[in-house]
Amino acid sequence: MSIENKISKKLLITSGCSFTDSGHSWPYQLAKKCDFNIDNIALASQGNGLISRKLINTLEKYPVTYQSDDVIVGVMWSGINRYERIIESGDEYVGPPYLDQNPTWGVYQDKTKGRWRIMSPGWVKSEDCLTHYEIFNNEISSMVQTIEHILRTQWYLEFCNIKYFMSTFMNIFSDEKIMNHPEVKYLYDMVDSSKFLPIEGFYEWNKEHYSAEGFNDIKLDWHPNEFGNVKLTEEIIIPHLLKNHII
Amino acid sequence: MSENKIFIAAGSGLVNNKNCWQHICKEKLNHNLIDLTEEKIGNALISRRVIYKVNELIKTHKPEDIVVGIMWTIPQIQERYVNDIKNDSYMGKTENSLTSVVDDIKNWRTLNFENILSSEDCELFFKIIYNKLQSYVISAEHILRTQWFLNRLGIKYFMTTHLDIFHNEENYLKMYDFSKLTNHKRNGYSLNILCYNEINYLHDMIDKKRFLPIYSMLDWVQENYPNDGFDDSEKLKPNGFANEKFTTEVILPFLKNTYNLEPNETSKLN
Repeated sequence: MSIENKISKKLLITSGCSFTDSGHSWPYQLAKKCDFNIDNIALASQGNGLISRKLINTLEKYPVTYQSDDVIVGVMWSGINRYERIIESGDEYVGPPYLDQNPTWGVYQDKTKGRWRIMSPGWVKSEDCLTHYEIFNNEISSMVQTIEHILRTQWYLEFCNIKYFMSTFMNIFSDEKIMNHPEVKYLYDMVDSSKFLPIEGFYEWNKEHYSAEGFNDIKLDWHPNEFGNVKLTEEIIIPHLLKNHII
Repeated sequence: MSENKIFIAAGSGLVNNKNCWQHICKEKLNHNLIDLTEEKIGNALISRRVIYKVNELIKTHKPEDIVVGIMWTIPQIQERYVNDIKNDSYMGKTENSLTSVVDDIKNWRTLNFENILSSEDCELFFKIIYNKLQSYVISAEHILRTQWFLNRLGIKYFMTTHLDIFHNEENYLKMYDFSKLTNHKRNGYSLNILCYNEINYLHDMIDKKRFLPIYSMLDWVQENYPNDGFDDSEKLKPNGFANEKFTTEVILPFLKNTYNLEPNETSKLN
């Protein structure tokens, strides 16, 4: 990563899924409160492969030069069962839902529509999703891949000397049977947990502390609303950044 | 034998007998060998095996006592984790390709592009899920993750490929003599990686200084020992002589130049 500073404000780059993507989400709250420039590359529904891949590509290809000290990265990891595949035009296995942002980009500021198709376990009307989730997806391999994405991202950021913090949209590490599985445990033990916010997951934290005000209607939408995002930023993210000398 | 010194070999392709480079390295370096190589596994399993084993070893060994050598394979070899082996109906009856990352747990199944019709999971994977460009992206990510893992620990290592998977004179994957391949395989193997932004930034990030200064082992043997280096008429399987030469003329000089690591004088083969 070759970054040289030309700008006075620090740059906050954030990646994640829908919990990070909305206009009122925590990246924008954090940027406003700390006066950061912001580039939020999150996208609803995407999995941890794309969250990691887009982040590293963005940092490698960012068009404005910054010194490493002037960049802060925040990542909110998504569900382990979300997957992605590169598709070519005319791919006959893609089916509904036909979302505007799917396929999505994997290369920062790509002028094309993108090559990466997001896959989700509920999209069983698509032949590719049906096949993937019936045959090739399971909790162990999904968790192995998710932790490999986290480790690759942590080691890359460490290598580039970029300050960062991480969290999860929900508590994706809660199943002890998965986390203690021998294929998973040695990987999870390598994750630098000190870089994670001191919460289980955004959803759980919001539900515990602001179950009424923090959601518009939790029965209909489990995404935290603007109030929940402001509170997470004020009560968790900023104290974590101060405590760890990130700001 | 230096009791605490360990040479870990990992890879797939050109690794399948006692004359192969990892065994010669073991003798020349006079290290204990942990051989993680296995024919026909993909780069994901190669990477996972190295990270798992090194992570175990550093609990009892100093990083400076460990040397790792990895021979990456073609990206087209993929894998799936089989949760329920007894009741999995997609593997096919004749297939027995389960292998392990963690000691003694054989749940990983390789899916090989060359055996696309061998079983239902293989056929469906390569028909519906697989994408060649994506396989290169994922392979590059495995290489990078492995490099960053080893770099963080200060482990001495070298990497190479058994075939030239990333570059040759035309920036196309070179897979033996293309004229001998079926159209299916030719289309499957050829990819100009420099045409795709998804892969070229990853390729640029790979620390080439940790790679042996050759295109691939097969290229090197074909160029340097085209007659003595093969017993097969197609010149695809380097023999014991070629492995000896490859080790003494490429691997050991690399270790000497990069890490000042010299062959042990008490080695039997010196």
